[in-house]
Amino acid sequence: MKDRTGSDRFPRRRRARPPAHRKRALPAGKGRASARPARRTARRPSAAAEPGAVQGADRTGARGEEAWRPPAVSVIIPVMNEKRTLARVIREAYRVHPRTEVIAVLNGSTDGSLAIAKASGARVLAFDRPLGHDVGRAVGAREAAGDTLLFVDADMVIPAARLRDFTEAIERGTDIALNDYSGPRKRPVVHNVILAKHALNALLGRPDLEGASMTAVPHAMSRRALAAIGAEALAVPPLAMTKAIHAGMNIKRVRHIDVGSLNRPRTKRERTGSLEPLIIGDHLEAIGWWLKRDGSGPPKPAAEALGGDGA
Amino acid sequence: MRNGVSAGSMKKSFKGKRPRKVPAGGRTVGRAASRTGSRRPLAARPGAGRRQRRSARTHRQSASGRISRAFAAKAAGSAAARWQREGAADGAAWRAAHPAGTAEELWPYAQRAWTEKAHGSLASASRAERKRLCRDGSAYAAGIRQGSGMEVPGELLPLKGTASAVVYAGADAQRLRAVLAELERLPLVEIVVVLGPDALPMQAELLSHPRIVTVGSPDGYASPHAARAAGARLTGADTVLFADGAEPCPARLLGLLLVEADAGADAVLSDRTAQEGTFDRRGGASWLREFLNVTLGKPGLRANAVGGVPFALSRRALDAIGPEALEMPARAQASLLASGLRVAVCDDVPFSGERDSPSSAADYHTAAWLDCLSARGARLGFPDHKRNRQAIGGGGDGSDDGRHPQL
Repeated sequence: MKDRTGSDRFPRRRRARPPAHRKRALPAGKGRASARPARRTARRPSAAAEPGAVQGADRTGARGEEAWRPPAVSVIIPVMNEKRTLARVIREAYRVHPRTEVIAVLNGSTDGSLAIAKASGARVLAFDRPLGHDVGRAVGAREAAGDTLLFVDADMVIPAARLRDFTEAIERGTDIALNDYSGPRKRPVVHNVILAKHALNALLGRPDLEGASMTAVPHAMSRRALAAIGAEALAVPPLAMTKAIHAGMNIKRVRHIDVGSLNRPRTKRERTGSLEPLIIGDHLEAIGWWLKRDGSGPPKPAAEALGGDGA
Repeated sequence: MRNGVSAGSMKKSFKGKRPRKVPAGGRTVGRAASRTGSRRPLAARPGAGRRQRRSARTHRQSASGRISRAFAAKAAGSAAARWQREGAADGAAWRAAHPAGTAEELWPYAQRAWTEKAHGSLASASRAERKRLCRDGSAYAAGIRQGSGMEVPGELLPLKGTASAVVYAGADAQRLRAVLAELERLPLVEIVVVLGPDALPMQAELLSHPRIVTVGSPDGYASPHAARAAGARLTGADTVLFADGAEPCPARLLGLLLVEADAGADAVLSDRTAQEGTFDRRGGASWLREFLNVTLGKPGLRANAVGGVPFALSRRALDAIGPEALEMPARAQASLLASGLRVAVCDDVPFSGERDSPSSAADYHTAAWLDCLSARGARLGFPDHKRNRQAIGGGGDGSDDGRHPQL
């Protein structure tokens, strides 16, 4: 027994598949992809059969031994160098629903996130260069098979119990379930991104949404909503939101998750390449679409939509 | 006074503030410390940090050659006294030359004299200095009263050009009288009163005022903005002041708007953001106004915009946007900013509080953005260079300005 090698290295009983909950609890990078519990094998059959569906994408982790059942929830996680939190994010994603597929859209990752995503059992769409802000979500959504799509970020570990509020809202009939996060706004001057979200919602006749937006994660959407707005619109979240409102989708603020405090500070990025101009431009793009939609004239929000001051 | 200062530059000014230095090892500083023999570090003593900051500020100002606040107040006081003395001499001279002159004749004389005297200082004056000149005008007027024995019936403003006012008169006659009483204290060549349907009976009374011109439409006007736009068409003055016909504003404050526009600003706005409170309480219309300013590159204007009375426009601004643009204030604001005209906010002048119907704000802003986005592209120059939209088959909407070059 001492000099056992290869397949005989461990006693037979140790090679038996452990219970699902124990396996999921393994720390990042320690789990073996082949040891996924059966419920994670819920995948669209075409995924493995169409390797060229996404250019440059490398799909792994397909195990087609069992009869395929469509996933109820697709969790889409754009990843760019997030090895610190990725395994925990994927683990929580799998806990959202018994039939969950996790789609990790790796773009420009060079820190070993790919190995972590594969080891965690996620379906991986890998791109060798960064796709840019929000494009990963759109790419992931296009490949998703679930009836509910849940969008989370790879740098933010949110417990499954909280994420479940979003997917359950979709199951109850909401089309888009937003994070009820408006940012710090009990002050005279707010960040321009917060201003942009409030202004767009007011212009679209939905001031009740306050600063809630598809720009912020987590949020979930129904397949119906995805079909109405198109996956490509998700690359510009305010535009997606505008299209959803125009399509008459049922949009609600579901639960407050303070992503402001969960987001790690990126002082260097704020100094050198702040996202503020990008997000303001996105909101303008959305306004432009709203004004020109269907060739009709500007829409008229409800009279009560804008509150007291209209000057 | 402030104009469109970007958030970035505001941040820089905060960054420039030096951190407070605490002596290493908790060295005690000051008479009290040595008297009590306290060994507590400076920062640990109550009020010590504040005292140190104050003393450091005074020291910095002295070192950089700036005058202290106390000295500035004294200098301002002596300047006012000097202007009062000059006013007394000029008033006495006028009285000697016009023994039977009336106060109405004295005012144009005093106004001309004050403009000539202030003109040299005005040429290179900062906003603060222009504001001080307005205060000095009061001192000079007091001197005129002293020398002539007659009250100057209005404000003395250092205006190089002509000025007029446009007011929309609603139903409240009493308030309109109060508004006109303030406007008549300003050196205006004319006051255009646009009469709403309910104010038409006041026309005869108003025409008894020598400087008042009335205009009205039997059908009325779509909004106070439309009425003021109609009034603006009638005036050819170099600066036009737009005032609320239902809420009197002191002539002294309205004069600040005129002086600022006369000195070179194309639009001078009253400050409404100070009254609106925190962001969450402001409401959709205010968010739209502020976001329009942000998208047009003027975040420093906050939620202030043309249309919020009182405000003043230069002739250059009126010619550039056309008086009819004022019917839709957001459109006029966008047009001013897109034309590169200088828009300033006068912190001292409060917004009157005139409200529109809520839905009209959305109409005005959609029209403004429609103009801008049609003329300058889908993102108004806010770039999107890093997004690879090709990976998702295009995405987005509108023209591809500011997008990734390979897309």
